[in-house]
Amino acid sequence: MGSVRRRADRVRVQLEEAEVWLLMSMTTQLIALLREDSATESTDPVDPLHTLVFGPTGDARPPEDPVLRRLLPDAYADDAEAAGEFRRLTEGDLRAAKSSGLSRIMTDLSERGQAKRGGGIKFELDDDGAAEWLSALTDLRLALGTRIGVSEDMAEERAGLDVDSPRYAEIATYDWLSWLQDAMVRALTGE
Amino acid sequence: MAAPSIEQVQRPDHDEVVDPDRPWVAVVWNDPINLMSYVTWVFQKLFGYDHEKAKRLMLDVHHKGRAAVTSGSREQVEADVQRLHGAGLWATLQQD
Repeated sequence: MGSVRRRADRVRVQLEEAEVWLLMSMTTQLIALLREDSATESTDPVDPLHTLVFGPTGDARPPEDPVLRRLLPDAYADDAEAAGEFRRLTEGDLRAAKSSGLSRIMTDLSERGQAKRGGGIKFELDDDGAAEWLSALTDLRLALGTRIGVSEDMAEERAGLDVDSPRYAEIATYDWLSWLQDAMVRALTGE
Repeated sequence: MAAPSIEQVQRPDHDEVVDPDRPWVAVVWNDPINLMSYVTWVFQKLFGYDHEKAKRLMLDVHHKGRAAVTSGSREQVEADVQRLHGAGLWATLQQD
């Protein structure tokens, strides 16, 4: 298993080969989901005058995919009209920011990481870089957690699982992501 | 003694009753995925709260299901909610 440690003013990350592969695979899928869905969603004709005055805007409807609904939630709980307007004006930026954070993970894993002894990679992050990783890891955990239906208390289910079952692998992956994120928060805050 | 202003007299009856002094608040809702350590860090990072205040708010979210984390004008709080969504927290805004 990898490690995340504070080293002077940097956060040093070491990951095993399988961990790198897992992160890259999940990150690639989520970037694709954020892009694909936004490309196919907006079917309304664009009013050129509105675009000129207010800038390019997106769809006011919430996404159908539960993962995207969790990543891009309504800003108003009891006011569908205000929520739609907020979404129309901001969702494009939010999708772009999330894609950018996830792309940062891909770059660090594929280009900045140096091979470490015994396989896997190591790299260092400054505090801004670690902060970007934290947001992106959150998006990955939200995506996986929503897909596999994570609940507040899964201890009982964990205990009763057959280690060869697909469910065990899903939960183990989710738990590993949680460990990585928690280790990074602790390395960043020095707690 | 000042006379009622033109604005007051001419306000149409069907206008929504909005008290401009009632501030808006950003509400963060509990979810089963976000880590307690991460949520505390987000409140410190986004709003400059000290660790004690950030942790108290995180515990409010966790135990009470929700907590108001910032307040201000609608525009300010919309911007806060946007940043909270950027950090992956489940946040909404409402008038206090």
